[in-house]
Amino acid sequence: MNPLLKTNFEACTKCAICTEYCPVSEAWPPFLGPKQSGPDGERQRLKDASFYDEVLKYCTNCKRCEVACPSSVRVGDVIALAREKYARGSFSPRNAILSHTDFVGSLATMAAPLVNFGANLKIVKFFLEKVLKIPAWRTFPSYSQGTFRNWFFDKGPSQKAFARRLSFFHGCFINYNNPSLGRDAVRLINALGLGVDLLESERCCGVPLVSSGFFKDAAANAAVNDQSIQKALLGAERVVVASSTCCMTLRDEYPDVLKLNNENWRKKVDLLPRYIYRLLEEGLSLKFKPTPMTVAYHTACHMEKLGWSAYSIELLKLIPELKIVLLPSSCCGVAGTYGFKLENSQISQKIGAPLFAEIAKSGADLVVTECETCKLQIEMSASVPCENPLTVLARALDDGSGGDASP
Amino acid sequence: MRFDVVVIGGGLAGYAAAIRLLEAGKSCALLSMGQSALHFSSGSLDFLNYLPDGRPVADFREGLAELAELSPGHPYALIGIEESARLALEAEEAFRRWETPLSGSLAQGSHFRLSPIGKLLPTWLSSRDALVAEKGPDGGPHWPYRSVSLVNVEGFVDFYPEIIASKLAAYGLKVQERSFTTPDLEIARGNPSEFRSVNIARVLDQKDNFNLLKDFLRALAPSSDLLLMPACVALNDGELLPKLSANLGKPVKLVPTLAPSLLGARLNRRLARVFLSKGGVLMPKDEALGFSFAEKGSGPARISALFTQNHEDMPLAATHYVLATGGFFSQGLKAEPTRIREAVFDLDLAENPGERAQWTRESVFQRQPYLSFGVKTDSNLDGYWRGAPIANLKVAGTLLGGFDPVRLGCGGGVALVSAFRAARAILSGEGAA
Ligand SMILES: Cc1cc2nc3c(=O)[nH]c(=O)nc-3n(C[C@H](O)[C@H](O)[C@H](O)COP(=O)(O)OP(=O)(O)OC[C@H]3O[C@@H](n4cnc5c(N)ncnc54)[C@H](O)[C@@H]3O)c2cc1C
Ligand code: SF4
Ligand code: SF4
Repeated sequence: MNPLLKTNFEACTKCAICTEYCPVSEAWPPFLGPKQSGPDGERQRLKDASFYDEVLKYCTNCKRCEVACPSSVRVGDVIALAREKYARGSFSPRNAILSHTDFVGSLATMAAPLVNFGANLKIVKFFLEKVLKIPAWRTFPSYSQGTFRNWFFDKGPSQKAFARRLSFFHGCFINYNNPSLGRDAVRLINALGLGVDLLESERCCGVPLVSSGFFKDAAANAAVNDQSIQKALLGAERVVVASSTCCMTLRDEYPDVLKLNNENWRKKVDLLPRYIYRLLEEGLSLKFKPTPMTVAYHTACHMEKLGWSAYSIELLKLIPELKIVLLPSSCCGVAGTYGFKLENSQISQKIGAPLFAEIAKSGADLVVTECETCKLQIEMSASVPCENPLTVLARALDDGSGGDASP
Repeated sequence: MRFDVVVIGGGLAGYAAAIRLLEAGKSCALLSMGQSALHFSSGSLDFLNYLPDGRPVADFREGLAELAELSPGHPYALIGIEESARLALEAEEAFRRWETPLSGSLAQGSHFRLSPIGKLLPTWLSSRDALVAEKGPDGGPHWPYRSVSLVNVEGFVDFYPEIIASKLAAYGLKVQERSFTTPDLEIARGNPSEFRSVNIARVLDQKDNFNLLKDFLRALAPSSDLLLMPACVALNDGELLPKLSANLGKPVKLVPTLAPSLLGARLNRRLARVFLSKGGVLMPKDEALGFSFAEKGSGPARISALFTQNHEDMPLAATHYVLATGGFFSQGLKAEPTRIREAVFDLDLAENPGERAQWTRESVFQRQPYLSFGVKTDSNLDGYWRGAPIANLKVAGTLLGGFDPVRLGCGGGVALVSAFRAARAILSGEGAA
């Protein structure tokens, strides 16, 4: 089926409610906005491709337009498909670096101390800004020494003893930048009495490639992951994911934007908090120790789209003495690699401003969100640490080991 | 996932019921397929403007009594007219508690507001920012102003300042028209089809732009009793204009525009915030798709699980369900080739819609039968399925049958009265259970 037909774009009533909720058109009105870039524009583009407007690249693919639309138009998908079909962007080394997270990640992890040191040096930042058009003031994700995969196979706890198994799609961020989140996930799954497998071969889910316009590379990654997931599900009961964006991409962007039919496994890929919730409903249990602190829950854009915040929130409520503030849903502005592009950086900070104000008002010790780029943005701009709910849950685990088991 | 109550529908009725239940200590999830009718409404809530025979309602309580005679299937009549009036007061009280102040009350009777095309309309509750007039001794509007500065935003076409000005002039007010812009607004105007009320507000509410507006209005203040604008400012903050008015020493008021309507959208946003602040679990963009009944016991049928788009094979479970999915407009009702169907449960309808040809009338000015289609309930607002009530499902808002909200001018009132009725029935265990 033509993916455009699945977007339901003909159902648009032109009510403009999507535009009201688009964070980009709020911060930067010259962006045409979802209605105009999406269903309105599509009607014109179908007549004549020259109606395609390069300004569509400013869409962050946050999908808030889709969440707001009363007529269930998949506005964000219409825009992504139009970019795939019509965009004539020229090659940019910066976009290539930012979006090819696998390749850059494996190089950087090998030389982590150097890269981390380098990425924050003035001269390097100058080069980043002038040549690659990456804003100098941005804090870069630091690369860890050694990937999560290496830890898992070399030093991780043995997974042999467990009969029930989950396959863990760790994604790039855990693998290269934040392996401790991966360790937390393993610890939680093991505490439930299940074992962890990794996919035989895992590529970046493809979302940064999609947002930089590398649709072919994204589709190639999708094809590899498709094979790996099918194979993994022969032995594991689910493929579980820690990042909301990877999860949404595997389940929804593959069929809707990258035209990969994932019908036979789509519902077997789950966000880990949701699957943990399911296991608890089945009768398994987790014990938590009192954790007297205040956390503010931020609904990442793709989490809003998945519609699964409630699982994380309900799990957090199981931790004694943890106080949870629910932040009103709004975009943090970084939108994956979007905020790392100089031309977007001011828009990006402006989009996030209301969220940063809410965080300050909440008085929280920690912000909790399932998205790794939100974490970067929030830690940089709101000056409050930010973690995945899995980390909060793992730290509060009362499994006798006392605190973070990992180095 | 289990809750005490699951509310389906994120409009006025759904939010009002949900917040009331949260206040009473119930755990509550609310799912909403998309933004509600509030985004298209004036933001003023009507209680009862006309009787079914077309006569205007001068006094709310007398109107209720006549309505019960003429239209016994109307939700107010079903709930009981005394009870409806009492629940309306409860709603007024609740908005104060929710720090969402509205002007007007049942006790004062109706006041007037202006429609986007300058029509004078009676209503029950309005945003404090809306231009309203008390009813004068002659039954017409009493405007406490003599000279008005009417300030439109340059290039904004969803508002007709000339019509509003001539309307106000006809009441003897002296109106000077002005137009206003800022460099940022000029940029936004470069995209004319998106130069709509809420999008303008998102620019105008930013500090630099708002300060420019403030200076502009300050210059007009000495020569005006009233500074009037289309509703395209103050999207999130109900305190912004009252503060500005205090600062300028002259009231700054708004007239609703064509949709999307800022004052309605703002009320919707505010209700969502209150819901969250009281610990409600919000599930935006989730659609209730189907349900299952609990195993048949001796009593009436009970719903045991609700299946939704996002939760797939993990249905939501609740002790009580509230259905507030609106009418055709919000897809709570669906027109199939040969019948009208309530979309989630296929509940019984209040009246038999008859053949398809009878659902609509040709002239848009005639009474449209389809507008009063809706589901059947009893005085506890229990939904009915195949002739029998369901023990744990209440219905509220426009989805209810037996009334035409547009013709009678009673949409907001029915939404609130039925929401508070449903909440109370749940809290006191009234109904088929
Ligand atoms: C254009 C227009 C203008 C109006 N103007 C006024 C006015 O000025 N004053 C006034 O008093 N009244 C007005 N009304 C009447 C108005 O409908 C009511 O006042 C009131 O807002 C209705 O609220 P509701 O909660 O019953 O329904 P709605 O506001 O229609 O809300 C229904 C909600 O349910 C959701 N939903 C539907 N199906 C599902 C599903 N399967 N799963 C999950 N969610 C679902 C929808 O997305 C929506 O959010 C107007 C109505 C319309 C259509
Ligand atoms: S919200 Fe939906 S129906 Fe309204 S303009 Fe946007 S896409 Fe069209
Ligand atoms: S996906 Fe996000 S940025 Fe793109 S048009 Fe929709 S709301 Fe705007």
